Amino acid sequence: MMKMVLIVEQLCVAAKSGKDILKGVSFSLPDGEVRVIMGPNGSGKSTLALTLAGSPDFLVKSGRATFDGVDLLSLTPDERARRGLFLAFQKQVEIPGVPLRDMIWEAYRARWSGPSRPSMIDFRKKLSATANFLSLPEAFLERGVNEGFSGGEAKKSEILQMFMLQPKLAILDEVDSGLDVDSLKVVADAIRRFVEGGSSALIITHHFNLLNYVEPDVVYVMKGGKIVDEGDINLAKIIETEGYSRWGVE
Amino acid sequence: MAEGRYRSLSPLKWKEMKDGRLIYREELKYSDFTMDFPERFEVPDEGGFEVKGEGDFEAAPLLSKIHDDWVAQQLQRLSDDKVELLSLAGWKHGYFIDVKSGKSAALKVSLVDWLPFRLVFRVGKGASLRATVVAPSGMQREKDLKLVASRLDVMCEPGSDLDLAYKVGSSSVEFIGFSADLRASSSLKLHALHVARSYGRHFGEVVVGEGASLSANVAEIIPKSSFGDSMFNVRHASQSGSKVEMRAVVLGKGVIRGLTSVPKGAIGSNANLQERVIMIGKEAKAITSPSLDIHEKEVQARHGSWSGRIGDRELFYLESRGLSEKEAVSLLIRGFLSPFERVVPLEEILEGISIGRELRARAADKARFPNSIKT
Amino acid sequence: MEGITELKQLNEQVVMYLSREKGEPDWMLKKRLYSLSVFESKPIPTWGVDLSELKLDELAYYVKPDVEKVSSLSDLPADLKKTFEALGIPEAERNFLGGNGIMYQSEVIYERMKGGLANQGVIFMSMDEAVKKYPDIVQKYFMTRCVPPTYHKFAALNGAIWSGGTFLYVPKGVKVSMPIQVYYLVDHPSMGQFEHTIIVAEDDASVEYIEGCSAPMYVKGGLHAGVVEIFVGRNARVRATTIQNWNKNMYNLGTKRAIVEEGGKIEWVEASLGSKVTMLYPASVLAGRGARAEHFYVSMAGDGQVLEAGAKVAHAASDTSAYVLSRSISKGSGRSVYRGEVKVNSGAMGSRSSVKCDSLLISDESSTATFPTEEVYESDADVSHEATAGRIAEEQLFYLMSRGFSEEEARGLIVRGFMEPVTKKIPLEYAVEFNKIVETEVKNGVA
Repeated sequence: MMKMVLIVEQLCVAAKSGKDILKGVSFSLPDGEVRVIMGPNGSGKSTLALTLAGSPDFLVKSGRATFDGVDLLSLTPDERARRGLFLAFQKQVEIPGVPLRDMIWEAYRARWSGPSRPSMIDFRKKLSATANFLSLPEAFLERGVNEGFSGGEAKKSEILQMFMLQPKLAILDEVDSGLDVDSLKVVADAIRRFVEGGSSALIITHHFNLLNYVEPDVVYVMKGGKIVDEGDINLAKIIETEGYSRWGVE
Repeated sequence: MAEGRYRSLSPLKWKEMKDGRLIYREELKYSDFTMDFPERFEVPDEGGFEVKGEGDFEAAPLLSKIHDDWVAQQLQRLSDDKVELLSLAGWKHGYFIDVKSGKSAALKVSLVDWLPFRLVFRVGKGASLRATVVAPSGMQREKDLKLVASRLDVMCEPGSDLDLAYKVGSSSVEFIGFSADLRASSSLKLHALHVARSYGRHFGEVVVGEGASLSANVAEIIPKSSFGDSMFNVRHASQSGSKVEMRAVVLGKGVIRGLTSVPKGAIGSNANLQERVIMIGKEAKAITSPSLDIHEKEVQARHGSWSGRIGDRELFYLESRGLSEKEAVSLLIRGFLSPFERVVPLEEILEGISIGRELRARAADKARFPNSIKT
Repeated sequence: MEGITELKQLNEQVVMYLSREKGEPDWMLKKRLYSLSVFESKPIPTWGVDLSELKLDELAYYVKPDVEKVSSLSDLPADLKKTFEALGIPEAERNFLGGNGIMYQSEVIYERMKGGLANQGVIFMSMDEAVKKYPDIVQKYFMTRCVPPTYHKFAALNGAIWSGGTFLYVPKGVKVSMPIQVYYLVDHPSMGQFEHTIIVAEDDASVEYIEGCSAPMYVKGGLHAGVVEIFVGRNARVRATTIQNWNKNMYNLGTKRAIVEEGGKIEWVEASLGSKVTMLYPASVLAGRGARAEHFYVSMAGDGQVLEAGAKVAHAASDTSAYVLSRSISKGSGRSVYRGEVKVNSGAMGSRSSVKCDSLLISDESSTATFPTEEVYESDADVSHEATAGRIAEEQLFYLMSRGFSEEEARGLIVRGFMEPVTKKIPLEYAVEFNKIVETEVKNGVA
C-alpha cells in the first residue's frame, strides 16, 4: 500500500460570496509522485490549490483533506507550511519593503531541522546558486517580495522559494503561464530536479509544454468544480490537440 | 459627518445685516468680491422647465406636492450657509420627479429660461431612471437677480439605479447645491458639469448606504476672470463603494475640495476620490484639498490630486503628429472632459475660453521671469 | 545657574531672571520679552488636535538638572550612564558620530565634537553658550526670518523661555561626513522642554544632524515645544533626523522650518512613537532656483495617542521640487493624521511636488485622516498628492503564512516593510531598535 502524501475526499468549497466552486473533489497523491490537474478556466483549479494552502477567501462546506496523515483543513496556513506544504501562487502577491532574501532566510531558518543552527553563509550561497540557475538576477533578491516583478520573474521567485524551503509537497498553480521559451525551460528543469529529489508535486497547468520536461504519473481533468477524468500523459496530449471538447466544454 | 477639519475656505461670509440687507464680502485672499443681497427677491412667473421623456414617471410642480411629507422634507434641506435660503426662491420653478417602484424612465429636463431652480428626484424601490438636466448657459434676465441659488436633491430607494447628468453655469453669481441619499444597494452614476462664468459655487453631498455604490464625475470649468468653488463630500455606510473624480480646467481661480468619510462600522467600504486640475495661463490659481477621514479598519480608501499644466509628453506627442499647440491643447482638454459630452457639446464648454492666447502669453513670461523670488 | 532649580511660572520677571542668570546679551533679552508678549496675545489653536487638556499653568518652565556639565560620558552619574548605555550612545559616539551632545532637563550637560571638525571651522555647542561666544552669527539667525516669534503661539513660547538646544554651524564648502547627534532626556514631571536649535550650512556645505528624545513612562504631563531653524545655503545639504519616543503623557508641539537657497537640499526624517499629542509640521521654504525638499515620516499611534504630522512646503522659486512620504500606523485606539500644505507661488515656474501618505490601521478602534491642501498659483507646475488607508492586506498575510510564518510574524514583517522606505534613512543601529519597538507594539496591539 503506497504512502499517500495527500488525500482529498469529496471536497466542497464555496467563495466568500456564497457561490459554490468545488463540488466534491476527490483524489490522492502518493508520496514522491507528480500529478497534474488540467481544466478550462473557471473549473476550480486555483480554488483547489488555494483551499489546500488555507486561503481565507474560501469556505470549506464539506469534505476532508489529509496531508501526511494529518487533518489538513484544521490547520492554519502557517502550520500547513511548516509541515511541508508549499503553494506557488498564480496571482502575484507583492510585499513591498520586505527584501526577498530576508523573507526566505527567516522561513528557511524556521524550518531548519539540523542539529546545529543554520549557517547564513551556506544559505546565501545556496540562494545565489539557485537564483542563478533560474536566471533570476541577484538584484531581485534585494527587492521587496515580488515588488515590481514581471509575471515571469514572479513565477521564478516562487520556484526559488520552493527550492530553498524543500517542501514535502509543492502545489504549483500555473507556474508556467506567461513565461517565455527560455524561462519555461529553466523553470521546468528546476521542477524536474525538485521532483527527482523525492518530493511530491501537484501541478496545475493549461499548457502541455511543461509536461515535456516533467512526466506526470497521473493527469486529472477538472471541470465545473469536479474531477471528471483521469489518465496519463496521453490525456494531456489529447487536450493539447482537441481542447476540452471531449468533456463537453467549448 | 465626522470632523471634516479642512481649512475653512468659505468664500462668502455674512458680513453685516443692515436694514434687512445682507452684505457679503468674499474673504479669500486673492479675490475681492462684494455682493449685495437684494431686499426683495423677485422671481418671474413665466419661464421654468420643460420635462420631456419616456417611461413611467411623474413630473409635478413642486408647489403642488408640498403636502407630501417627503417632498416637504427635501424642500427644507438647507446647508449651514445662509445663502441657501435663496434657494427657496427656486420653489416657484421647481419640479418633483418620481419614478415608482419597479418602473423605469428616461427623461430630459431643460430650463427654458435662466432661473433659480429646484429639482427633487425620487427613484422608487428597484426602479431605474436616466435623467439629463441642462441649464442654458450665458443667458440672463436683466432684472435685479444677480444672486442665484439652485438645488438638485435626489433620493434612491433600495435597489434603485439612477444615471444622472447635469450641467449648470451662467453669467451670474451662482450657488448650486446637490445632494443624494443612496439607500441600500442602490446606485448613482453622476456626471455634473459646472461652468463658472463669473462666480460659482458648486457643493455636493452624498450619503452612500449599505451595499450602495456611487460613481461620480464632477467637472468645473473656470474661465479667466472667474472664480469657482467646488466641494464634494461622501459619507459611507457599510459595504458601500464610491469612486469620485473631480476634474477642473482652470484659467481663472478655483477651489476644489473633496471629503470622504468612513465612520466606524462601515465595514468593507471602498472609497476612491481623485482630483485633477489642469491649469492654463498666467492668471490660473487652484487650491485643492482632498481629505479622508477613516474610523474603520476593514476598508480600502484612497485619494489623490494632481494640479498643473497639461502633460508635456502628451502635448509633444500630438504636436509630433502635426497639431499646433493650440489644437493639441484643445484635443487634450476634450479628452479630459469627454465623460461630459452627454450633457453638452464640448464646443459650448470651451467657447469663450481663449486657450491659445493664454499659452502664448505664458511662453513669453517664461523668458522674462527671474530665477528666484525673494521670500 | 545658582539658586533656583525650577521656574514654575511664566512672566516678565521669570524671563528676565533666566536671561540674567544665563548671562545673555541685551538683544536676546529683548527678543525673549517680545516673544512673551506675542505668546500672551495668541489663543491656543483649535484647528488641529484638541489641546484643551494642556495645562499651561501647571508646567515647570525651566528645570535645572541635578548634574554638572561633564566633559566625558564616563563622568556621568551611574544611573544616567546606564540609561545612555542602554540607548547605545557611547557606542554611537565611538563608532559613527562626528559630534555628540546630551541635554538633560533644561540644560546641555555634555557636548563633544571630534577634533578635526573644529579645525575646519565647524561650530557645535549648546545654544546658550553660542549666544555668548558668537553673538553676531547667532543674532543673524535666531528667530529672524526662519521661525519668527509670530509664527505661532508655541514658537513664541519657545522664544520667551528657551533653554538648551544646539548651535551647529558649518562653513562654506565643509562637508561633515559623520553625523552630529544630540540626545534629549526629560524625567521631571510636568515639565516644559524648550530647546532651541539652529543649524546653518553655508554654500556647498553638508551635514547630518540627529536628534533622539525620550522621557520615561512614569513622568506625568509635560510639554515639548522645541524650535529647530535650519538655513541651507547654495548647493548645500542638510539632513535632520529625529527619533522621538517621549512618554505617552507628553504634548509634543514643536516647530521645525528650513529655508533652502539655490541648488540646496533639505531632508527631514521623522520617526515618532511617543507623546500623547503630537502636532509636527516640518516646513521647507524653497527660496532659490532648483532647491529641493524631501520629507520622510514614519509614526505609530497607539492607545490614547493622536499623532499629527505633515509637510509644509513653499515653492518660492522656479524649478524647485519636493517629495514627501509619510507612513503611519494606528493601533489600539490611536489616531494618526496627515495635515499638509503645499504652496506654489506665482512665478515659481517648473515646480514639481509629490506627496504620498499611507496609513495602516491595525485594530478595530484605530482611525486615520488625511487633510492635505495644495495651493497652486502658477500654471506651469506639477503638483500631486496620493493617499491610501486601510488594514494589512489579507492576501499578504496569507502569502507569508503559506511560507510558514505565523500570523503574528507575518504581520510584523509586513509592518516592517511598510515602514522601510523611511526607516532606511535612519542610521542602522537606531532603525533596528525602532523596528523592534514597532513590531512588539503591533504584536501586542492586535484587537
